[in-house]
Amino acid sequence: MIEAINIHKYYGNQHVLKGIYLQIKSGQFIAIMGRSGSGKTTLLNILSGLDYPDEGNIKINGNKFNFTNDAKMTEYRQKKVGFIFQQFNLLDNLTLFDNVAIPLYLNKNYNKKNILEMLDRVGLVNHKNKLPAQLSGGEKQRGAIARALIHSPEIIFADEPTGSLDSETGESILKLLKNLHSESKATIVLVTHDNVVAKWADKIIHIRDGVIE
Amino acid sequence: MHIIKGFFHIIFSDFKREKTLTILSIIGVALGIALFISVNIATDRGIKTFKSDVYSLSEGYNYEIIPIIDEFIPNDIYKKALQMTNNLSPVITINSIIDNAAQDYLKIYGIDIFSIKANKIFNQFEGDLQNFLTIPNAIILSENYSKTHKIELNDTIKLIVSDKAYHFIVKGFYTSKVLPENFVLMDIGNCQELFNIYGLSRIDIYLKNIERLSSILPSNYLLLEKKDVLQRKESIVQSFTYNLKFISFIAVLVGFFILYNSVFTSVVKSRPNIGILRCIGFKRQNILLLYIIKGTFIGLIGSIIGIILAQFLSFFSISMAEKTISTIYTPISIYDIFLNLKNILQALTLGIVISIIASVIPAYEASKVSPISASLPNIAEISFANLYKISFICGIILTFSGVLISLYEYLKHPFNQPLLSFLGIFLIIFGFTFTTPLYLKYFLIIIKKPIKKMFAFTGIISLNDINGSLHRFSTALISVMISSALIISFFVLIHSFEKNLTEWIDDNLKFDVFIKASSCSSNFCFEPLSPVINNILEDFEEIEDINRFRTLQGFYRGKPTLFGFADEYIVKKYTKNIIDPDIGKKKEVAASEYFAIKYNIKVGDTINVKTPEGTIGFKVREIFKSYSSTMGFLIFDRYWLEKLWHKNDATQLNIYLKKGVSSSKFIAKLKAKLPPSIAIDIYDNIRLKKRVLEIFDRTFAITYAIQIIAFIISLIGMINTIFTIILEKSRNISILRYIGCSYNKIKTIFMCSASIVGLSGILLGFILGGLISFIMIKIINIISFGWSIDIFIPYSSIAGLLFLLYITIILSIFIPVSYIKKINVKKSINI
Repeated sequence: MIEAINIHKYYGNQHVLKGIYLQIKSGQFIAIMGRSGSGKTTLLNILSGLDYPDEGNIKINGNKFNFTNDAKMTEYRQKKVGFIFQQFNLLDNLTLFDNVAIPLYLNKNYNKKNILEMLDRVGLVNHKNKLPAQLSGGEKQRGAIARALIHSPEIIFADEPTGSLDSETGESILKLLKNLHSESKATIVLVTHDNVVAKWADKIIHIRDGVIE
Repeated sequence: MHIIKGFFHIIFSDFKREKTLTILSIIGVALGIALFISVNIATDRGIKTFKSDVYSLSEGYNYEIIPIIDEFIPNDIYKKALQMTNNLSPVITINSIIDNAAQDYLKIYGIDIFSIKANKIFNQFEGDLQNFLTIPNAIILSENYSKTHKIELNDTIKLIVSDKAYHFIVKGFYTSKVLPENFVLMDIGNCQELFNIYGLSRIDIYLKNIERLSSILPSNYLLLEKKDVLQRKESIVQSFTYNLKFISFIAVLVGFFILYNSVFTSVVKSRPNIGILRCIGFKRQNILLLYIIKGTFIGLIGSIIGIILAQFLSFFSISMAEKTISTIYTPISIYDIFLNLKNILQALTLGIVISIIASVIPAYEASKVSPISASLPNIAEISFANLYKISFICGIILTFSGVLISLYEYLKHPFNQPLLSFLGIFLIIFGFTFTTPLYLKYFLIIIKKPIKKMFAFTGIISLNDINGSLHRFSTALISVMISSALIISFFVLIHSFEKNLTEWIDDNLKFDVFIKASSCSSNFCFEPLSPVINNILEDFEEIEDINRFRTLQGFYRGKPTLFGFADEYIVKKYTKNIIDPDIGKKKEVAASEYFAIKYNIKVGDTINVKTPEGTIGFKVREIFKSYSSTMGFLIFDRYWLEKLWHKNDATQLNIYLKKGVSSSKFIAKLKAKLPPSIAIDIYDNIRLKKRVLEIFDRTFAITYAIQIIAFIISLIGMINTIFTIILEKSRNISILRYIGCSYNKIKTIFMCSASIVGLSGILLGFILGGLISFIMIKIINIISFGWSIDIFIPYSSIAGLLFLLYITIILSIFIPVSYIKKINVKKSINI
């Protein structure tokens, strides 16, 4: 379970998050919805341990985050988290296969068979030796999903995962995400401003001006 | 005007954004320029001392008469010249050192103050001119020198001339800036009397028409135009200056690559901004100009800082050049140690020209950015990737051209200086530079498997990073390559030289005791030792043999050449175990390699030498190695010194002691018998050998310094490139951070990249260094100095040195790698 307790975040004079309380149960697929500048990405960064709150704390399965311990936070992201970004963010110099392999390398459980299976699940096994630049937007995002899931993380954070895709491809990606979620039972936290996208989640949380409505 | 203002606005905001990169580029350019200018200053000031020697006391005279067989011009020649014109001035020059801790080299000029036209000198004179003429040991010193050494009017100073100490009374100071600080002026009559000289060193003369005087001047004397005299003197040190300038220019070349890299990074980073500028109406030419201005501006700031640094460096380089020129050529003292306008303009011009050239390619790339393509990633790399094969072929062609040009010079010797080989080395360096991207690509293929096995994830990311930014990593490789090539080539050169010299010392310096005049700071001096030393030595029973060596400044085909006179019987007896009592009487001569190369002389040829008894043909008996001078060197037997030159004195004594006699006891006994007025240096064999090697080290001191600075510039190049790559890869670094890669892991990736690039650079540098050292030793060295050297490669030392370089490169990466923590991961991947 992920718990956000009284999260406050300031950027200079700007009060971005104003006392967020949030509980996400394990295996849930939730969508955090809000307009641009509402604080949803900041919340996602804090939940993933990349940013720290000025007040409040985060608990994962009852364990408090130690934001000052970079090694612990890195380990948390490495072992328990998978990321899906709007801009896909595959490493451009690595093949699709190597991109997907990174989390396994980091977790020291590299297994070629698992990577090929995962690529097969996302329908990209025939593209395994291609560089990101040789893939379409939808293929890149499927590759990113494969990378996010390969090490069987407990939580997947998806930041506007269909934001750079056309509606048809976007829908196929969400379908894939939904299917994989039901198979893997991972918690998915999806951040979006789009109603249509948010509807794919089990639960929708609205955020406006740094406050959950 | 508005657009230029706009340019500077963009440039300054870029500088703010790329602070570290800009600073590194400025330092790189500054060091390169500083090194080049300081070497230029040192060599130019060395040459300037020759100019002072030729012109400073000769204002108003356009010719000079010099002796080419005797040491002095007899008075009757002066009288003959005087019958034709009274527009002339007799001069005597004598080398001396001051008897104090500094042991400064002072040049005594015996002058006729009434015929000195440089009235300015005596217009700015303080002292007692009447006493200067009447007191036999009165002298005039420079005011600056006197102030520095706290010498007052009427003080007595002790100068050592050859092996004798003389006391002089200071009767005036010249304040004129025309004369260098180390000139000591003396009345010519007093000078002749004091030193027992019955002649003149030269006659300065003003002639409109030289034919009349030429027709009556005996062939033992040369009438030379002043500018030719200067050119002759300059030509002697030309090899030394060319070599130093050449080496220091390589450092500028590395600075050039740093700047190139920096401007390129700026272009890559600013692609979206360039796109925006193009959208709002900037023309391609505007973008081109913008980046050329940016590069030039960095170059300009680098040059200005380089000028300040050059001033500091030149204190050192001038001292080194002074010592080297004094040892190998002729004693000089350089007092003008400050940069002048010419040096400043030279530095600025060089800096600006280099910056413009370094900025053109990146600026052109920037100008090609269209508003639509601006957002495509890494397009510069993609466009360069298409050129790697062509670049490699160009590199091979350039390298071969460099080798062929050098080879042509080796076979044909078309110039006095190894100009083609210098060009050849530059072509080879550029050739290697062009081959680097493709070389790196294949290097990665070769090491892929072992790297993957050894470093797994880190290795894979690193290999792919390098592969994806081959052009960028090639720039780092070039820095390492040039640096290691420089280190290897100079190390091989110096080591080979030292080894050859040590062998030469062991083969030739067989005598037990060596004596020379204390004032003699060069390898060869022309002032003879006092006969009293000879008389004292005659009483020593401990002596087996003495080789009384005499050096004369000779001329061959009108060019200055050293004439040495040795007791060949003794030399051959001790060095070759040959006993031939008649060897000296044969009309034979031994020629140095430089002489043989310069005049295309072989063993068995006959050369015609001008002697006081006319031109005599000598058969070349042998060609020998000589590391002590860069003038041609002919060695005759002393028999000919007496017979043709009518001299029986010596400038140095090589003493062979009887078996069982201790050198130190002999020296102590000799010193005890010497009168206090005699100033000679006595060395036993071990001390002499040590001194020769010390001189060798001193000669190469400036080279060591150049190497160190070139190495620092290369390190900056490496740091600059890795820093550039980190900036460029900030998005990738951020992605890795998001998916759980620790800072240390990312640092390791960059360390791995630096190790791979460093290793590939060192390997290529090893080949390049080998090629350069071969050309330097076998072509440049022979043409420049006439020093033939066998190549010795100290493999284990080179391996150790390269390992040290490798470690330094890897350690240097800690500086840019520490920047990784400062990257804003959220901003870098736009979430």
